[in-house]
Amino acid sequence: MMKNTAEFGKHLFLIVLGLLLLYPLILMLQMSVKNTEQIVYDFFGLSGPFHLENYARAWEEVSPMIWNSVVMAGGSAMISVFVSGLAGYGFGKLKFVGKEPLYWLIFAKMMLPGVLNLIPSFVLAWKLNLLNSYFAVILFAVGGAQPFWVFVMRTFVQGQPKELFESAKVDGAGEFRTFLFLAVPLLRPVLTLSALNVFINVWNDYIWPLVTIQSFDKRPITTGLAYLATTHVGEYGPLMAGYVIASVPLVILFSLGMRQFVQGLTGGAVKL
Amino acid sequence: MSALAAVTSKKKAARFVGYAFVLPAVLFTAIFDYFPMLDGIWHSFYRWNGNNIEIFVGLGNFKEILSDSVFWTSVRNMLFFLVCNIVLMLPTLVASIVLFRIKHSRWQYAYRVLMCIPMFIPGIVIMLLWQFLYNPQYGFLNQLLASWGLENLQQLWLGDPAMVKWCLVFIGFPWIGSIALLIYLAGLQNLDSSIWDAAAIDGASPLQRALSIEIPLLKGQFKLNLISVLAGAVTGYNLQLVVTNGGPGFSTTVPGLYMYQHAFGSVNADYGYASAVGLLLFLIALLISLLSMKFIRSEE
Amino acid sequence: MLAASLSLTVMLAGCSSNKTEEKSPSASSTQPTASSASASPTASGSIPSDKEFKIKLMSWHGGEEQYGPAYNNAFEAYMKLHPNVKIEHLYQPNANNGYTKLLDTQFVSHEAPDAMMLPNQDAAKYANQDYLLTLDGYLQLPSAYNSDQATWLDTFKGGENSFSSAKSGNKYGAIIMIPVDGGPGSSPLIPFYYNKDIFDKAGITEVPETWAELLEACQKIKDLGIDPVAADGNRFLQWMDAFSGYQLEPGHVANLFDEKYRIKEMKVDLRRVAIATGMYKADDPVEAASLDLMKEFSQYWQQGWAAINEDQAKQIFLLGKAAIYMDGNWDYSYFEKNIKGFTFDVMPFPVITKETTPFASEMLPVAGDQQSGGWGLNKDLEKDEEKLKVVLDIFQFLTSKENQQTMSDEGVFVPVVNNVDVTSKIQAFIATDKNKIASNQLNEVPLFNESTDGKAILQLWLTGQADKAATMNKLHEQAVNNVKKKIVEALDNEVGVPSQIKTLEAQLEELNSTNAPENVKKATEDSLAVAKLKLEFYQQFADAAK
Repeated sequence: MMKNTAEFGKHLFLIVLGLLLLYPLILMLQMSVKNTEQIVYDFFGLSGPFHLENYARAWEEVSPMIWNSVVMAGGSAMISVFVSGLAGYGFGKLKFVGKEPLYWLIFAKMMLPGVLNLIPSFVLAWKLNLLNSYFAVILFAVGGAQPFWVFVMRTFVQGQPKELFESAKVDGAGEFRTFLFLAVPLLRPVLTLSALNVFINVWNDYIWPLVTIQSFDKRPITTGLAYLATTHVGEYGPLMAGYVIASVPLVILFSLGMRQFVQGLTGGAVKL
Repeated sequence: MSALAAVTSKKKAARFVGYAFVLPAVLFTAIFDYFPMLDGIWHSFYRWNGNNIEIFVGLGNFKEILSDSVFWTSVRNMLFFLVCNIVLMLPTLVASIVLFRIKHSRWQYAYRVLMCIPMFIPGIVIMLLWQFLYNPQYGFLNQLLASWGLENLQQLWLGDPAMVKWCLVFIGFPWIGSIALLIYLAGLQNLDSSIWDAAAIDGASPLQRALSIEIPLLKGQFKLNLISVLAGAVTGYNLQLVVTNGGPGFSTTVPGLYMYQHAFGSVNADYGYASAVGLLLFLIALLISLLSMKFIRSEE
Repeated sequence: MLAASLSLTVMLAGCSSNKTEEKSPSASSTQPTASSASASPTASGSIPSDKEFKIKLMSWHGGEEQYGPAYNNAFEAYMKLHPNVKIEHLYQPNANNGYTKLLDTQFVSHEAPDAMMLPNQDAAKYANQDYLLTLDGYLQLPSAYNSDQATWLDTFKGGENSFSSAKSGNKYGAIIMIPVDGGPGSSPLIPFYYNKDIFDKAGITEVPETWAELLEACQKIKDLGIDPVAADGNRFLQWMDAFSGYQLEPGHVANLFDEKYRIKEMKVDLRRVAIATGMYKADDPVEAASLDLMKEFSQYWQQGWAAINEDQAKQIFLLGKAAIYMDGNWDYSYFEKNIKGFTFDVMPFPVITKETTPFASEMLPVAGDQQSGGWGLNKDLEKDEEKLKVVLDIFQFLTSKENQQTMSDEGVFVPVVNNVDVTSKIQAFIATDKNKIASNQLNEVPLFNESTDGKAILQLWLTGQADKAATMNKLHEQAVNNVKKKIVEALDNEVGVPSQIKTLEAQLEELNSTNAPENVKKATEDSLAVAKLKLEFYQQFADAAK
């Protein structure tokens, strides 16, 4: 009996928590099919008529931004996962002079806050002629993601049984082939997690694209939505529809990589 | 070619292979993380508008910042958010322990998926949504109170300097950090299951178990998450920038926003001054990180 | 004729890029005939017609509001006239300083549009950073689309004088923008839109004309349980502080200095030196009075005003939840279209009388004395003479009488050039005989204007979290820091007035050696004289200001 109550308590706790996590989605959805009067004067009402045209209007404005965000977030994720995967393997398995100092150089940046970087990064992006291009976002996102993910990757590579890699050596596989055909499949969950994480961070980033992406047709959804909120004052219905649309790609991505995402970290002890 | 020479050259090649593997990451970190940081330190001693004005001012920027009461207000506000954010690491920790104790693997998986939801709604959407909900004249919260006949409980929310900070903190409700949760969970699952069996025999209560076993074992993970929370709270300003722009008055101005406002969109734009603010923040964040590392020792 | 105007435009473009082309001496006399062909397609001869041009123009006027369509239609008309020119109208809203933030970054990376709409203050800022073209030379030549006057500049209402305030803000003392909408004649004070139904319900029969009457009306509305004013902590605050201050004690700052310095072009310099030297103090009684005025008024603002921006305040007015909202003519059509439950009208900003404060002048700033803003031209255009020619041609078209008539009717704004009729909707926005304070006498709340966080500081004062002395001390502290830096900059040999004098002298020398038009030379000489006066002024007070 006692045991059942405890078990029930745990489930109740998690279900309530889950519902609380869902509330913004629910509010967004119900506001997105109403017009301003219905929202302001009848916030809870769902009596209709439903204004599905909000979605048509929102789609027109939001769809180009989604593409921009996908390119920037996807590009960052792919490059980052490749770079940090390589480095994780290099630092975790290979031997070379200066390995430790180099690793510490990267690792230390994890402890160093990035706030000082905004303005000089902006100037650097400008001098490198990157402003207003997707690369302004991609390259800096990859750079910013390295310290943490190199650290994680190295932990995971070190956690793999040594014999595995040794046997590959006997086969005479080149180091890169060992990495590609042995390490990558083994590390797939954490690699996927890393890619998803970088993707989501770029997808949600606001300040950096705000200052670097100036062209109207290259704006990602974050700055784009904030912009729509100021240009469509009071049009809450279409705005919310826009928010809903902007969330869809992440939901799709999540359902594709869900298993890796929720289990990606279980293979190693990530800690300090 | 002798066998020995072949081995040596292979070893040499192997050494180079090592560099090839780590070079991209080193370069990315050096160019896009370290270079801007050093450049920022350099320019914090200049009055610099990014274009034609670049005048060396020595410690002038720092003197001006430290004598500006707005900066100190922003530091106080930052400390408020810092404390809140540290306390609010608790829900994630609790959730991860409860989640870990669900032994039914299907359910556990389903809940894990549920806990990852906050990551998939763009943060900006939540902020803009709350900005609407908080509006005192036509927002959701005051309407809700009115519909319950509780007009006397209606608030100004973001318009009330005494309340606005709490309003901002509440935007994170229910304060579940998905990545942090996954890190804790992975930590618990990696432990030897014999520990749990021993605990079960002991007959410790769930809370005792959490305090005596799980939490101590998660120290390393906690430290990792703590660092990102600390850095985020000391240097972050996304929320303040989007929702209140630091107001009303200076009640939600944080140092990061103070820096941002001095660099972008101000008639008196000064990147040098802003860089100096950045350097100060950097030092504060570093100091706090180091202190917290000293106080929490992880198990090796 | 055509040839004459062609060579003129070439010459124009040459002005700033060392290219010297012989000017036909008869140009100014032949010009009227040349430009009488203005609206006809033959005028396309004035720009290269054998090449495609893509011009980017940026403003904060969206497609759905009145200015947006007015501009877009004008651009359409121009593109019809010149099929080889494609104008792209970019839109970036002003909210949260988004417009200037965007421009800041665009200019730094040389990605800024070819021309952008700018208020005087921002135009000055960008000109001082060398991002904008100085336009005096171009304006001294005839417009291809307006034959009323010998020079383009003279076709503007108030002619050259109307630009003096715009000139005074930048280090070149030059004209750095071309006004297209809201020209002289508009009142410098933004009026109030009001909800007629609420006014009726409150028994307000006469529209308030004085400050006291406004407060009285607000009280009546408040008694009904309705918020009188939809205020915000950003734009509204800025306007209210400025507009309540403007009417007090004309000459308060200017009279601190020798008469020869009291020129419009040096208004800002006088203000800065006055603050830096301590002649203008932290407890200035006039600025204090304007703070008191606002504090009294603020009891009629809706609760929580400090946390919202102008767009959210607009929403409150639109929903009928507040009776008054301060806004410009640019939103007139928006309100016409979106206000559904009530009728609205517009009332001018009231006059502050002596019954309210002894500093009241009972006058308003002079009518339409000055251009308040316009379109700045990207300095990068210098690198592409032909494109520059096209951009100038677009603005000559926009400021033609015919186009101004169409645009001002559609956009509900005061036309910028002479001989255009104004629409009746605009009356509340136009100055009356009460607008008498000369612009060099105007007292522009100096501490607030030179501070960094003026609005936030005022929020604290108005919501009762800081007393008046603390408020003024904080404004003063920030203002002193800022003006001292500005004065150091002004005296700097590399970036300040001395370098500006050097530039102007070099320009003048070049103009003399190339036999340039007299009026172009005269404009440069005038700018040089102002610059020298400025330097003299700053040097005189340099030590006191340290």
